[in-house]
Amino acid sequence: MIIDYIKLKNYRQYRDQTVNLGAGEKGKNIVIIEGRNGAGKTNILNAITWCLYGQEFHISKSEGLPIVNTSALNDLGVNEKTTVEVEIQLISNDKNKRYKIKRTVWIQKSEKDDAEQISDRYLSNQSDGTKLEVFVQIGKDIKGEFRDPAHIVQRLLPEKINEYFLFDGERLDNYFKEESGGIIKEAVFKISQLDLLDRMIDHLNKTKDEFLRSSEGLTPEIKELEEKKTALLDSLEKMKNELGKQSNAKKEAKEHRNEIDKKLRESPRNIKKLAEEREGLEQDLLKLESELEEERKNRSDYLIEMSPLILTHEAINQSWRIISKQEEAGKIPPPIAKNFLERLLEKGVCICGTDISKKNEYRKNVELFLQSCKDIGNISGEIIELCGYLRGLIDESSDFRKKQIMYGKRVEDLEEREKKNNERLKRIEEEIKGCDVKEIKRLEEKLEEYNNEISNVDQKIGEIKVKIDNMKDERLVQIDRDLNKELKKEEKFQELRRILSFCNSVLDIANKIKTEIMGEIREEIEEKTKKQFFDIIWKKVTYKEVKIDDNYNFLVLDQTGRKALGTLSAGERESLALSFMAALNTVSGFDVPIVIDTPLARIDTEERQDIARSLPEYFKDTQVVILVTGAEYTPAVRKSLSKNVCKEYKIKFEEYKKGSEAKVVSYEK
Amino acid sequence: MKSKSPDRLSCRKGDREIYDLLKKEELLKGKPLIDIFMMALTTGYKEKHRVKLDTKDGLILLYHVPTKLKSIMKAIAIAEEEADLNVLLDEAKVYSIAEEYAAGGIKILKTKVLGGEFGSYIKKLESELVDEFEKIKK
Repeated sequence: MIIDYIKLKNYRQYRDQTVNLGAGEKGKNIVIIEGRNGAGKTNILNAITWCLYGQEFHISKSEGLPIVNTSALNDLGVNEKTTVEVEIQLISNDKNKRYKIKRTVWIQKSEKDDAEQISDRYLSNQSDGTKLEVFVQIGKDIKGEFRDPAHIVQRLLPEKINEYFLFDGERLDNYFKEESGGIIKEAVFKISQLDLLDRMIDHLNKTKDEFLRSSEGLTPEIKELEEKKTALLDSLEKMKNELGKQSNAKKEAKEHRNEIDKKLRESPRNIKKLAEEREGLEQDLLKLESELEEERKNRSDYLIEMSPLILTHEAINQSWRIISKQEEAGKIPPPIAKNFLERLLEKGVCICGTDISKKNEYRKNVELFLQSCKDIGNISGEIIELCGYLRGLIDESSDFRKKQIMYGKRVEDLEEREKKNNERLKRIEEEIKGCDVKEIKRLEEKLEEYNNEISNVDQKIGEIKVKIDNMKDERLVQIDRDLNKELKKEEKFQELRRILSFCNSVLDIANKIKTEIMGEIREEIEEKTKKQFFDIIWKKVTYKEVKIDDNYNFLVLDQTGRKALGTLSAGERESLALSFMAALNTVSGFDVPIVIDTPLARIDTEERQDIARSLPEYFKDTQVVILVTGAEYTPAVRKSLSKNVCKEYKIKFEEYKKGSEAKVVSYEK
Repeated sequence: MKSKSPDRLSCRKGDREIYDLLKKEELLKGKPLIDIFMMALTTGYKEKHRVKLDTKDGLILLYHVPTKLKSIMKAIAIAEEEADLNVLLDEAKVYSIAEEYAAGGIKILKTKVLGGEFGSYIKKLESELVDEFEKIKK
């Protein structure tokens, strides 16, 4: 495929320009467009990419000039509009098909004299506000107004590989820098056209992730639940066994109890009770004896204590009466105590102060009074006290009978109880006479033991039954319910596992295919690059091998096998890059024209001629548009290329007051 | 003539053994000696059997004798001296009368306590006391 022409209207330096690039006779596949730096060479390249993809890949973003030609903009009044248009016509190699691709953008001049891109809502058909039109002519039929013109462009000249046919020669060296494996790999990948496969892998990965996410919470707990169920069933089994054991124990205990019961029926009833009563009575009797002894002692003590009072009661009573009478008569105590009168006589002074120390009438009277006094008067206090005690004794003895009866009653009561107990004991002894009380008691105790055992076993049986019921009704049912739920999850989980397994298999295969295809493409590119490189370079003996390793790094090995990429001259590197680009171009399978911007800029003069000489060899049968400066397109280079050049242009750049304008004119002009 | 006030109650020599014997008897076991002395005194007094102490053996310090019992001894002395309270001026006489009745009663008591069946003394004593009490009431 070749570019037949490029038509530029108001596009950057170009006000209205049509450049015919159509091929000439066979073998003449090169078009030269020569221009100074800044004249508009690279914008030819940009015009092509803008037209095809809506983007100017080779323009510096910092470049402030608008896309619209400044002269055209200046011709506009404020708010006036104009269009920028680039039209490219491609012709297939068999010349049967023509593709006319045209992109238009609407520009309005702002009040600040700036160009503002506006979109025409009726005409714009691209998201960037531009209009893209594609017309396809097959024979005489022209077809246009495609619903998705961009898609047709992508099919003809895929954007992703545009850098391998529309490229800046100065950037070729990037392929050979360190860590360039990523760039090479990307190139190989793009050329391999594995997008579909890649999209499929991407889609599969996303799908897989979605399935994985949806499988969260689906992880079955079946094993755990089954283990729980088994454990529960084991427990149930153990419980049932225990229930059986307890039932047997109950049965045995009942048998023993019945046996004992039978034996006891042959013996007097309640023998155990009688024996116990006997024991109780015997203990009571011991206690009674002790109490009786104590009461008897109390009674005898009381009688002994009271005997002096009662038996001498007459003397006590008589003495008390005598003293009492004397008290009543006022003799006791006497009005004047005898010893008091004795002390007065001894002192010789009467109580009234009269001297009675000498024998006189007063002393005589006192002595006569003393003689009438009795000695008893001196102990009158003691006698009165005695009287009080005697009264107390009389009073105490007056309660004798009451207390004596009380003590007697106590003793009698206890004796009565003792008698009754003895009688009851005697009757019991008669009742259990001839029985082996000990054995019967033992049997009765045993009977009680068995009854208790049966009761305990019944309780245990009840508990076990409740546990079993709980296990069956609640836990087992719950586990079964959970298990069913988990089994349903398991079905879903298994389905997901199958899907994930399928995804993984497909991913493996896709990745393998991708790797294999890329490997094959890499090998093919490596082979073609190597062939081209060695066909062209003149130091065929110095270098032995050109390889693209597994990491997609370029390797140039010298005759000794050493890495020699770093020692390549600029011209050799350019040769290698062009060989690589040609290989990419060939391997891509796309029939596309090549546009190279300044391919010889970094090359020495001598090498430039060599490159120029071999340049046609790289892209045989492919249209190559070379954008060069005058410095590159030396007469020698021109001479070297002359037999392959079909068209030669120069860019004439003119600056006016209103702006600048470039014109592509034939080289001869 | 007023005698010197005694500080103890005495018994005849030889009667001491009876006191010791009675003290070991079940009925009187653990009882103070004055209780046995009082039993002997009342027995002698009841039987009107008063024996002079030709020989004396100190038995109980008066200091330990309760006033209540001393009062009984004084009442006996008053009755014995035909209701003459002057006997109280002679403490030695008061306790001497008591000692003499005790000396007269101790052997009778011994016979009563040790001579009969077990418990018969108390029964007899009770009966005697009840009879005596009934008399007093009349």
